[in-house]
Amino acid sequence: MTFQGTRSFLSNVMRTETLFAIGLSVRTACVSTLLCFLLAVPTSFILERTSFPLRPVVETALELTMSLPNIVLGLSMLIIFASPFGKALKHAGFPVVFSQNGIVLAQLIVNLPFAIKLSTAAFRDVDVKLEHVAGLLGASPFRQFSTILLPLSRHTLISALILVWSRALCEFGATLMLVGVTRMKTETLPAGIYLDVSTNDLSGALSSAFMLLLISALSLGIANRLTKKNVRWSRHV
Amino acid sequence: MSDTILSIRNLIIRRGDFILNDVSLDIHERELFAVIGKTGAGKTMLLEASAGFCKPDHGQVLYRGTPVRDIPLHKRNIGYLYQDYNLFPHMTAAGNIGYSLKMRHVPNSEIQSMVQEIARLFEVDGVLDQYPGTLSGGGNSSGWHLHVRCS
Repeated sequence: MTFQGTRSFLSNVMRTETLFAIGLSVRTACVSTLLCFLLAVPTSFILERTSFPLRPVVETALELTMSLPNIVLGLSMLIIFASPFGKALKHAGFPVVFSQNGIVLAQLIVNLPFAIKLSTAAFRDVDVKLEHVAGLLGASPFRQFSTILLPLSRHTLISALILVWSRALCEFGATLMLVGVTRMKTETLPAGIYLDVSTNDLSGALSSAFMLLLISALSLGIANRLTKKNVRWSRHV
Repeated sequence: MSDTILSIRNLIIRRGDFILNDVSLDIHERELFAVIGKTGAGKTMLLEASAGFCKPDHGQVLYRGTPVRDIPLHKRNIGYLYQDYNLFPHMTAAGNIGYSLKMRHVPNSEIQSMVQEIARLFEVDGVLDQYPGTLSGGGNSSGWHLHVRCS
């Protein structure tokens, strides 16, 4: 028996390494999720609401990226960022390989197609006629987006944001390939589990796993609640 | 003709099995024009094409001499009443009625008084704080009517 109750869990969670891993995971997941949505929302808008000629190509690329194992994506990123291009970035003050920037980047690349898919679905749910109406009532394209499309899809978008954040928090394969697993340097929560298991500290691994489970369950609960669309303007049935 | 507002030339739209086949018409200034046809004849599709919402497979829709889809939506100056009202569900009746005024940068205080005035005139001032989902069918149609009128 390696997991010895609440006290053991708390002492494991309060270890400097675990606190570092929680902090790094939360910080990198927040930054990567923010970047993800800054890129995903305009991309989804273009894919869903404009007659973008390269749409089938982009959609196939997104699906392909989503179907690839994260470790393969990580390997691809490692090849790109270990190249002279990556070295130039390092000299410019933005190291990727074996650095915390790499964690954000790995999470971003893994989650971006997922975020685009979810945002596109959120926009697709909104009746395009409402934007036509807004346009005919004098709203510019930006105002159609900001006063109609965005408010009507915001609950789905927020729940998508939470799911993407949760996925970023649990990302391991791509991160492992790109930045490795170094204690107190590139140690995220999943990386901490890996390190704990490899040093035969199953109690520590289980505590980190339980923390991840708690955070994921909480974010899933919030996301589910938001997708219920229990908003005051919804049509009564 | 100079007083032609809307000119449709050899319009063809295909949607699945349905084809709106070769429609041509002219609508002139101050003319009242009705399109009558049985269910599924393509009246709504013709209207949507006239407003430039859908891209024709063939033919042209000219609004005051310019292809309607070349005019940005917010500069077309067309009022369009959908049969299912299409009020904005996340805005109150007042928000819906005053939307076009807000988009035209009318000051808020002025919007409020104009909305109150027009709502009183159409006897919908009692439901201004309600959302479309809670309005009756009549309330929705009035709201939508005022929505377009304010534009």
